Amino acid sequence: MKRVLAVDDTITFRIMLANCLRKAGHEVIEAENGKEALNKLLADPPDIVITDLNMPVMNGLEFIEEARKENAGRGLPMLLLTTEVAEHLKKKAREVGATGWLTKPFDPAQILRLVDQLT
Amino acid sequence: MDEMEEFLTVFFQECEERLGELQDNLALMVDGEWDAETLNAAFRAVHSVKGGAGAFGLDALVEFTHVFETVMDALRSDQLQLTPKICQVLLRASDMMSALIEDAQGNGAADKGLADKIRAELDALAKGEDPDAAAANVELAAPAAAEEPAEPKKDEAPAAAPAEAAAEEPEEDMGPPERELEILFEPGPDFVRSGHDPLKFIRALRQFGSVKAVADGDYPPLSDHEPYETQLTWRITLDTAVDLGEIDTFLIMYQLAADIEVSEPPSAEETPATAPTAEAKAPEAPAEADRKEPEAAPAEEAPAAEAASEPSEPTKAKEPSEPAPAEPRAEEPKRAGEGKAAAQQPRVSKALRVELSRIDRLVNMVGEIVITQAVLSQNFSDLDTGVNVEIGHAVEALSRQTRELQESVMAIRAQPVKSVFSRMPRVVRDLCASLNKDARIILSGEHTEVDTTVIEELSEPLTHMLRNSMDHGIETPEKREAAGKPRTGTINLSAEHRGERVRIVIEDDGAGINRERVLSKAVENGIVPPDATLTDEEIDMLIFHPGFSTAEKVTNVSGRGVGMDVVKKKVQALGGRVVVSSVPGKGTKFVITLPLTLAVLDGMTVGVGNERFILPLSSVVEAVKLDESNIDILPGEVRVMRYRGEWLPMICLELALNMETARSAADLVVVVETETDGRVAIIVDELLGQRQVVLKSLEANFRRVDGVSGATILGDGRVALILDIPSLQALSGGGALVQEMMI
Amino acid sequence: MSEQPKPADKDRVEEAVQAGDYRQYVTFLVGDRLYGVEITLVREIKQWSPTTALPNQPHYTRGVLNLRGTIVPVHDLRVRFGGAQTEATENHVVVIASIGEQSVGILVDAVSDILTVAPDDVRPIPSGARELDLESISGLVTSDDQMIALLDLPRLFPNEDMMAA
Repeated sequence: MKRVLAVDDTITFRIMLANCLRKAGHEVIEAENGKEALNKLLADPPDIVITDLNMPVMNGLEFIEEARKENAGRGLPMLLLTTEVAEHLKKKAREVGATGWLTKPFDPAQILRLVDQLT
Repeated sequence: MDEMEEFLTVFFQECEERLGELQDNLALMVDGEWDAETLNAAFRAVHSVKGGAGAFGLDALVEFTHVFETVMDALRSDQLQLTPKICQVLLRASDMMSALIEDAQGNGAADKGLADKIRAELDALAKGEDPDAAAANVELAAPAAAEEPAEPKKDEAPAAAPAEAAAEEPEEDMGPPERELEILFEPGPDFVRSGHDPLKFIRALRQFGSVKAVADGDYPPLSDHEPYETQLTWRITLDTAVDLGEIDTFLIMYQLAADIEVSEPPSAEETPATAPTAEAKAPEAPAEADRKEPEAAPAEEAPAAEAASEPSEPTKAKEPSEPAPAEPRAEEPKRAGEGKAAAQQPRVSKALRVELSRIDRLVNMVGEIVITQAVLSQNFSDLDTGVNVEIGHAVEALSRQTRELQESVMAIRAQPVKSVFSRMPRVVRDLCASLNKDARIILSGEHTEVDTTVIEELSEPLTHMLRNSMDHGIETPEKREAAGKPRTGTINLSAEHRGERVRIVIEDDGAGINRERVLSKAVENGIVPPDATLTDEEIDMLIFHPGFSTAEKVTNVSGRGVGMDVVKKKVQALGGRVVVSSVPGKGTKFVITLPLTLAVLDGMTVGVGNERFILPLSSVVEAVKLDESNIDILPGEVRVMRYRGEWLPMICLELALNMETARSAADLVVVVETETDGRVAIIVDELLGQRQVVLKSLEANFRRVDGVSGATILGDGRVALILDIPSLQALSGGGALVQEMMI
Repeated sequence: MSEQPKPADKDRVEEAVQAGDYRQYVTFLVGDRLYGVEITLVREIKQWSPTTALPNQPHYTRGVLNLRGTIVPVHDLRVRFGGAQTEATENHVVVIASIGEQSVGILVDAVSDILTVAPDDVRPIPSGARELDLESISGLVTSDDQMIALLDLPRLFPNEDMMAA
């Protein structure tokens, strides 16, 4: 069982993601924006983070960038799960230290595999 | 699950090839015309079947091929001398392997008892015992392997190869590899910082097969050790039977933080000399030791103890990067032998087997490029022409190259119709037998190439039409004789390219369509009113009417009412047409025209009301200004237009398609050629240009829609429908009727 | 997205299912009425964008849209249940759902919530329920005193091949 922090402002996606992870026996912490996610990450570090990119308050990239500055976020697998495909965003993702880039809609099996693989 | 099945299919295909190789080489051995390479090739064939079988958990096959392989390995390493008796055992083993493969496909063919017996014989050979002894335990007389398989060196050999792999990758028990993939893995400096771990990466790779990783690069002295910095790169050899696509998918996750390059190196067999083989293998030895190094990086998993061991290792880390004159390691002797013999093997075929799904991906991608290119061209042409000549040339070149690219891609999917045609003689033979008729089929143009999707769909309608010809067309030998024809009927089946389409003709020299009977049957079935006057052609076409069947008694061949309408539907679904023509007493001719591909077509975009439609360019004759004075209205509100001396039925899309959004201001008409009923005029507002469009199916998520053959996506992302002229004409009602009245 | 985790996770999934045997529904609004579709059938949720009409389309069909290269039909749920055509704006939402192998878009006013429902909470439709198309509703759930009709998509949007020849 892993602790997964699932961040998405779209309730559907967040729940679908959480649902798929919980079904597989993982513990899921949910957050609906980067700010909330950062707070939850600092309060109780997860094993892996899966975050949306476009979110209000603090977006996924900012969130990863901030998290990487913290001890709890250093070396932590943090995946972006987004509908974006633009190269400049991927480049930005690389710069802020995102672990990987996944495109929505997601494949639950792949998510589960990655959680195992990266933690 | 589906994926697994897909791989399985690929595996069974490969098995078939391997069996072929095995049998060829065994035949050489039986003939005494073998050399070291023959043995090697046979060994490899068995070996790779075993590898695949292991990956799919086909235990019975694994067990059998394992023993088989052991014997083959003993033979190629001279631990066992090939004798005619042994050849016989091997031949039986090869047959049994084939049966077991069929078994694995659910075709239950293998005789369990026989399998055990042959396995016992192989076991005996492997152990250097007399297979006779083993065979004595079983009822069937075994071939005396008279020569005691001179096996002094005990049967370590076969086990040796797997054992090495096991030594390096204890957890990996996948059975021997299919092929070696080389993966160049260069983590960016922030690889670890961004949540990755080289060790986890390498471990995760093991899901695909056995992994050997060799680190490259300078490891800094411990004093400079920066736990979050990755300085090494890895050269990884992955022995795997897994499809490259799956590995690519796996790698996506790492591509943000690392450069990863996967290559399928020429296998040892293809390497021209022994030396390179040794060279290729050399790096594997240090791999073991080096693999530990990455553990130093991830802080949590690599305590100081391991990090401390680093300084003693750097030499090793570097070793593989030196162009290896490295002497062969432990494993070399045997492998080198294999490599040498292997080097002589002539390459059987340069053909590459690629999953259709991968080509489809490519086709889709090219399709998107075609769209983008079209948008680019169009935007450019909207610009002031003088803007930039250079850009103009580039846009033109791009347009040409895109077309070539697309043609090349489509060519990959093209297949000769032979694969379907060649099945037809058998259909005719079978029908001859069941109908007591005598006929032969003559094929021509079998090498005409058509898109593979079209090929797959062709078999059913062709078979139907042949049945029809045999059942209704070709007469009994007696009747033929009486009619002064040769007793044996002839059916010609031919294919040829006609522009962007392929034309397939089935022509028989039978009795022709019995129009009287067809008509009376049609009246009887209420298909046509009793007082209708139909032309011969119209009567002939009635046989395509749904549910129409004229067989006097229902035969099991074609008289079940699932006749020619099925053919028509199928052909239409492929974007094609079928036409029949017949001469009483002389024969019947079916002509099918199909698009060469289902993926792309040249189209003209037209605007009608708020909608945009695509007309297949091949059918467009001309666009002319609509002139009311040329238009006449016939009874029944049918409008016709005078065009170059003939009257053309006019099609109003709003009415024909029942789409309010397609209300036309009626400025223009596009004259289009139908394949069956001459020309028609379609009322439109404006022409929006010509472009290649990628055909998208409406059926995938919806259903077939009359009047359109599919849809495409325009440059702005909106969907546009592709008009299907003949069905449109039928919808608009009375195209044929109008013509008839005009005549 | 594929619905089921791969076999490797099967055991864990089964455990989870045994532990809590519930279903989740995405609920959405059409007017003041709530409808629900099982979450596993929902592929994504899109903002409304203009569709391309189809010849002779069912009256409740708005046409097709381009969903990353595939063509997906969009049906107006309000019309399907006898209402007037939705004046779709950017604030309207298309729920992309799976019906068997096919994908279909459902035009609704807004997505409301995710509802977790125990099997016992799904009640049959009371006989005599008026304007509901009974056939296409698989059950009713009450949440916060609001009734949510659970949609039976294959029945709601049947896809017979209506072509004759």
